[in-house]
Parts: sequence; C-alpha cells; structure tokens
Amino acid sequence: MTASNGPRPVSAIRPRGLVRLGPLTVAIPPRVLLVALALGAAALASAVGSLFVGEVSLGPSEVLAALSGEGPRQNVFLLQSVRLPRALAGVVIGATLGLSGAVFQVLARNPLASPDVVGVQSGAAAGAVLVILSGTAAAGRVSTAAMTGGLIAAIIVGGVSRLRRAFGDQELVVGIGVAALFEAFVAYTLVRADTADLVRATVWLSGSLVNVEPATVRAGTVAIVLAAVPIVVLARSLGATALGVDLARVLGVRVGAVRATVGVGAVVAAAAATSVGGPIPFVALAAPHLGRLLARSPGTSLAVSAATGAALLALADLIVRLVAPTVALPVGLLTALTGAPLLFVLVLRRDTVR
Amino acid sequence: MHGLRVAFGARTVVHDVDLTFAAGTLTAIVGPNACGKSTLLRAMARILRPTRGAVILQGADVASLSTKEVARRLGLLPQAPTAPGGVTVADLVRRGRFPHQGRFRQWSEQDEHAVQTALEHTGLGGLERRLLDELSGGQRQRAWLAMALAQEADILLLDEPTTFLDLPHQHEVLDVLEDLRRARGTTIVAVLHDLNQAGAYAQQVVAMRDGSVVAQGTPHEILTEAVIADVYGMAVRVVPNPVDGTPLIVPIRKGGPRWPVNKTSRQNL
Repeated sequence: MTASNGPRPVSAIRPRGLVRLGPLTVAIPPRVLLVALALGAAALASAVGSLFVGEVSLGPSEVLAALSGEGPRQNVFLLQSVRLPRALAGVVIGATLGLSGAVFQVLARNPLASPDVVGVQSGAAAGAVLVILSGTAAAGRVSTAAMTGGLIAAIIVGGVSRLRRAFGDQELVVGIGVAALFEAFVAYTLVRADTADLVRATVWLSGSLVNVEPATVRAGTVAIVLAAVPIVVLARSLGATALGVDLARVLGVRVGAVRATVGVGAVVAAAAATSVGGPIPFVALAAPHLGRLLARSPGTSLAVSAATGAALLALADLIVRLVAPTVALPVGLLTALTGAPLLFVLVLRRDTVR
Repeated sequence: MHGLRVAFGARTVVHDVDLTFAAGTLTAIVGPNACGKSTLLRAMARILRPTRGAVILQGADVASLSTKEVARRLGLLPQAPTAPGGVTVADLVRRGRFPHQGRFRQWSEQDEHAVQTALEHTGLGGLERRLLDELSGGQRQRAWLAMALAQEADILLLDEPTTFLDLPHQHEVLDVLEDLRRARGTTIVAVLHDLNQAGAYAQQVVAMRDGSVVAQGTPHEILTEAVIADVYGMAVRVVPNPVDGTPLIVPIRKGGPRWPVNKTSRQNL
C-alpha cells in the first residue's frame, strides 16, 4: 500500500464550510459562497448603475426622486416603466439562463448542453415572430406566444427522444434538429414579411432587452420563480447524479423522477426568460463554465452559475447603454464579446478542466 | 432471489434465476461476455425492474422498499464509473454517505467515522486531498471502492472490480474485499473474469451462460473442467493451486502445447 495507515486528521475528511445551527448541519464550500456573493453583488451593482445611464444621463438625486414618483413626469416614466424593468429583467433573465444552462449540462452530462442548443429559444422565436407578423403585436401576446413556442419545441424534443428511449447526447442531437427546424421556419416567415413587421420582428429576435415591458417582466418572473422551486429543492439529488445514473440510484436518488422534474423546471424557466427578453445567446451555455472555473469546485454549483449569468447579462447591458446609448445594440453581442474571452482566459489558466 | 427474469422489450436477458447469497460470504459470478452478469447485478441493485420474480433483501422484496432504504443496505461499484473533473479522493468518498444525509443534515459524526474507516480499509489514508484524476489506476479503483464502503451497506455488489488493473492492484482490491467480509460480515457479490481469483477468494461461484445460471456451488464444485467446458466452450486443465490448494485453471491452447509435456499429463488432456 502506498499510503500510511492510522487515523487521519478530520480536516482532510470533513467537507469544507460546515455550518452548524442547532440540529442542522449544512456544508457550503467557502469559495463557492464567496464567488456566488461577489457575482451577485456585481450583477446588482451593474443593474443599479444602468438606471443612471442611457440616452439621457440622470444624477443620483434625479433617479431617487423619479423612483419614488417625484420630479419631471418624463423622468418618472423613464425610470419606472423603462429603466427599472429593464435592469431587473437583465438580472432575472441572466440568472435564469445561468441556472437553466447548468441544469441542462448536469442532466445531459455534456458541457455543450444548454436550452438554446436544444431549441427552446428557437421555438420561442418562432412563436413570437408568428404573432408579430400577424399584426397584433402587444407585448403580452408576443411574450405568451414566445413562451408557448419554447415549450412546444421542448415537448417535441422530449417526445421524440422518449419514443426510442434516447437520453443524454442523443437527446441533444434531437434538440439540435428541432432548433434547426424552428430557425428555418423563422427565416422563411421573415422572408415573406412586410417591412414594418420585419423591423419589429428583427428587434425582438436580437434579444436586446429593449422590448422589455413592466407587465411581461412581472409575469415572466412569477413563471421563473415557480419553475425554479423544484430545481432548488432537488439540487442535492441532482448533484448526486453526477456520478452516473446507476450509482445515483444505488445512493438513494429517485433518478427518473428527479431528472424529469428538474428538466421540466429548467425548460419552463428558460422559455419564460426568453419570452421576456428575446433569444439572448451564449449566457446559458457559458455561465456554468465560467462559474465552475471561478468557483473551482468539482461539479456544477447551480447558485454560482445563476449568479454568473446575472452578472454577465447585467454587466453586458450596462456596457451597451454606456457605449451606444442611442442604438438598440443587442445585448447578446456584448455577452459573447465579454464572456468568450473571459472563458478562454480561465480555460488557459487552468489545466484540469472538464 | 426467486425466479428472477429481466427483459428489455421482447429480449429476455436473464432467465428465471434462483440464487441465495449467505451473509458474510463472497460470491463470484463468472461467465462469458454478454451472458447477463451485469444485468443480473443491476436487477439486484434495483436499477432494473425484473419482468418476473423478486429480489428479496433480508426478508423484504426490494421492489417494496424505498430507494433510500435500499441505498442504506446495498452498495454497488459499477464497471466503469465516472466522476466530475476536479473531484478529490475525500470528495468522492464523502458522496457515499448520501443515503445517510438530509438537506439540513449534510454532515455528522457517523459520516466522519464512516469516511475515515473506508479510507483506512482501502489504504488511502494520506491521499484524501489528491485529485482522483492524478491517482494510479489501482488507487483510483480503491477510491471508488472506498466510496462504496462509506455507504456502510451490508451488501456490496461489484461489477468487474479488477478489470483494467495490473496483477498487484487486482489483488489489493480483492484483499480489501476479503478483509471487509471478515471484519464487518459484508455480503459481497462480484462479477469476476479471472476464474483463478474466483477460486481463491469466493465461497460461492455462480456460472452463467446466455442469461441462465448453469451451475452454482463452492469453487471446487464449479471450477471443474466439465463446467468450464460447458460455460465457455473451452478446454482447460484444473489443478490444485500450489500455494493454497484452490482450483487453478490452465487453458489448453489450440493445436496442443508448444513445448513437450510429460506423457501422463498429455493422457489427461
């Protein structure tokens, strides 16, 4: 035997970050906690910062007054109906995409899995474009149609996969096919659209957070919170499936039920997020990777991934507003422009990445 | 286990198997590739639902027990387990405690003791903080074994625990199992490819072919020239192991021996 025998120091055996509260014992790895809190703070700071900047820059006193309903009416409208919903949407959508992407990657045991890869966003785009081109483009109806389209895409992927009991990578392949179908449908409809509709559809498709409305943010947030509850409750069991289906089962996880519940939650959350902000690319795919690299924890922490997504999107939106206040620059452009190099740097600095 | 049958769709993989495993013994399941050994093991672990029959665990049908109850009594080491990257030995072994923990009871004295003992049993003390990926093949397999031991189940199922290991590491793993059986009275069922290891370490040998149990009994009853010819379709000589007298299986090469052998042994072929 290569190693020494005899009792070992418990510090080597105990999980890090044990917190004892009476009969309750919870393990929160310190670095995971720190990274999640820091990224959460960065997301909130970016969101608060974005209240001040835009086509019109406002001072702290003006922003505070407008938020409490005082001062010039256009300021009150700007803050309460435009900037605040948009700032909140950035944080909520970013966190949701990060959470959903992490769940997808854990479920599929594949680092390339994400809701946009399997067609949730393409389905949402098809739904939204269909309603926009039919002429009645009230934000609520577009949002509902997008949510429905996203869910239909996911149901098709799930249904086709179940027919042949395909799981994991095969499910991803089915998803890529479904995404391509919906994208082809969107492209075909846009070709046949008239110019005014085309502009509105393109703005929605660019996922720029510009079309965020207070009502859709509220409805979307409610749907997201409801979808996130089962994910949070089952997070520990989901973590145990990282050892593979057979071992998870033998360790006492009802694997089928956990995977189905958490998967539905992740799909609904991603569809709801897309219905509010349009199809924002890259966040769901990259946030889990960025989070893992920053937290240096084995496995995927859902909280860290959600915080990373929120920070990534809120920061990108802030930068968009600072750099190009008058142009509706798609925020997805910025998430890719800032997130991708960061991902490269982190991967190159670490030698053991999976 | 009574009249157990496992099928995938119309294809029956395991036919009407009746087996009993005495507490504190090691049973080796042997047989050619794709004969249903792993399927049988997975059905016993309640991963696959048998189409007929039942797995009885300490008097209770496993189908009637909750997943968590089964998890406290029965552990499994699959054939080629995979862990997420960046996992340390201690991380992995702690995961074996999952069935004993709860959302707000994530660590206890018992957990600490079980992990400590599992690391000692497998000779991994001092390697707790090493990354699993950095270990040698033998150490890694012992780390997985430690995870299964930390589960503190009375029954341990292992699917080819010695495959892919070199000779000393194979015996390290088997010696750990032997210690465990003697010290804790753990009931062990292992799929083994090496018949000599089955002969040396098992109290019961189960020989399978085409999803059926062809023979079961002590190593001396099962590891005979006739049974092996029946199960594997291969001619062998069985001689007493010069070290401990357990059956030693020597394959007879096609076309006869390459070097001259004395007349008596040639007559026995």
